[in-house]
Amino acid sequence: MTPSPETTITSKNITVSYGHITALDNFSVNVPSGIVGLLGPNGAGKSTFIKAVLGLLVPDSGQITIAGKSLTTEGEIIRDMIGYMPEHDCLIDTFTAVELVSYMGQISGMQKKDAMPRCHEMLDFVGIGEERYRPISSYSTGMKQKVKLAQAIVHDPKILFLDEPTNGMDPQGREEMLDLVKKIRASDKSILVSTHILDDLEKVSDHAIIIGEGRLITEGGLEELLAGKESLRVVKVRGQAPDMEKFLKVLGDVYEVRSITPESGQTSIIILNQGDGTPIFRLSKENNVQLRAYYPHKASLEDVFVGAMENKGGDQ
Amino acid sequence: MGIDPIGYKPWTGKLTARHDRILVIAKTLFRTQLRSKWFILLLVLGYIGVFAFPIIFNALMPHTELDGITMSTELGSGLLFMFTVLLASLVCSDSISEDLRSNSFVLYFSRAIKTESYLAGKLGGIFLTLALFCFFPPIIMAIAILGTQSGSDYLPGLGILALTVVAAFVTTIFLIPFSVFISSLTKRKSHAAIGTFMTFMVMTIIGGIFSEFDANWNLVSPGSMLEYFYDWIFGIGIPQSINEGILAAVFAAFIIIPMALVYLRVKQKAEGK
Ligand SMILES: Nc1ncnc2c1ncn2[C@@H]1O[C@H](COP(=O)(O)OP(=O)(O)OP(=O)(O)O)[C@@H](O)[C@H]1O
Ligand SMILES: [Mg+2]
Repeated sequence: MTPSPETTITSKNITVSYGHITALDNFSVNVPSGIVGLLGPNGAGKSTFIKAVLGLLVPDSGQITIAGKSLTTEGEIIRDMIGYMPEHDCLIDTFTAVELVSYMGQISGMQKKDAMPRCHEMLDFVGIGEERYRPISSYSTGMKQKVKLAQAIVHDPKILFLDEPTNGMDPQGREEMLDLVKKIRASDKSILVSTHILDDLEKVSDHAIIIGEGRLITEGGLEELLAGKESLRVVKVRGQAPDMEKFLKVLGDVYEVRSITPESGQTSIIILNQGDGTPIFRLSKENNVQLRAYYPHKASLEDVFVGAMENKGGDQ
Repeated sequence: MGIDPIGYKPWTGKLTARHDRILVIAKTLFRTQLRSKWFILLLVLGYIGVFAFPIIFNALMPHTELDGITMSTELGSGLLFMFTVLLASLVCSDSISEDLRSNSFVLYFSRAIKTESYLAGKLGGIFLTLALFCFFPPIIMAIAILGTQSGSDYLPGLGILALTVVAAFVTTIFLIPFSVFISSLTKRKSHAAIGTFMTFMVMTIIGGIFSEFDANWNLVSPGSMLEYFYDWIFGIGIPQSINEGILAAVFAAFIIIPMALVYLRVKQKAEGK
């Protein structure tokens, strides 16, 4: 699933502000095809970027090109080949899922005779059963998310924008949603997924664009972004206070300690360890503390984010 | 509930022309209205109360031809206007406020639908719906009177029929811009419906009160405005006391100003911020 080098979206110096808030600040990026993650904390400007690319808001300055076409001059042609799953509620909830999805198919340019079977196919695909004949107002959040996805893909767009597709879903629902995204990708689509959950992104994509406070922090393969984070290990130990103190001291002499967090009855330590774990076992035994757990540390968005910021600082 | 083990299938059909999609919006609005109990109830009551009796009465009453005075009088009936106001308030109320409430503008405007197309679709749908009451029945009435005339010269009657088509068309569109404007102001369709109805009533009352002092005040009342319009179109002429310039200006303003405001409001919504 390596993204091909071919570019789907190019944004050059995009600035978008809401009153005195600058949501995107001179934002330039080339989005490759494949599934690309748009990663950033709340308020970073992810949704704003997607809306600008869709032409739903007009940037104060800058240019956007999609599939080689200019958004300003060929907007209508572009819109016929994209699908958009918005972040917030947007469904006409007095309609049933069948009515809504087929309606959306038709206003995307499908004939009714095509839109109807296609609508049922897409509702089957996202996993909406007999409920499809009930008004959407009676749906759960997870079901609404699925209908939002169905309406975005009903006309089989080449390029898909998914703004926080797993929003409000439970772990199983999230898993299902991400599975759907992977299946759509299999039919040669470009998909831009915005999220603040790194876990979600790792499951579907390996290219990420990291955005913070309206600026591009970094972009590239997820593996590279996570590199360095790979050798972080979590050590959980339990013991008497004096023993613990000694242990922490010798541990600090040998390894780079990133954090020490007291937890109920034990201490959780994150260290950098490129080698194996044998010395840790020895040290704990020698210092009379009980080693409860030792495992690779899972990087969070925050880690990647902080890491990227540090690297960026180093580059300049 | 697991996901169906169904893979994603591409679709390889041909897209329709852009203006066909305007028609889809119109038809969907029309179909949605036809499913509303209130709309059907009002429509049936309106047919019975406003049209059934006059059609039968005018057809049975001996007459040599279809004349303008009959049509102008029938179209200018207070009851017909009352039902037109009720139906316009009901039908227009959820046209835009429902999209405001559910945030569904984004579903339209992320597709190849422009503000103009969206509005054309919505207005077209409302026209189709209101036409069931304001457009077709008056024409049917004119045809019924024409068909039962005792005279042998049908030409003048056909002329009146043509004018009836124009008058019925204007009746249908006259209240739409203002009603849609009210709908674009609120997320609650009940507020929009009541707001529209009340505004028309208040305008009628104000027009009624002040026309005691100057007949031109009648122009504030949408009902009176329509009556003058019918008199003018059927060649009966409007009262001397009414200034024709003011009539034309108020008439145009009542349609153009709300339309422009609706356009700006939707355009603002279409462009995100
Ligand atoms: N309609 C608006 N009016 C004013 N400010 C806005 C508006 N929309 C977004 N903003 C501001 O723009 C900035 C970027 O918002 P945006 O919605 O793009 O962030 P995001 O990355 O999508 O965040 P989230 O993860 O919460 O969805 C934020 O500071 C936000 O407060
Ligand atoms: Mg967002």
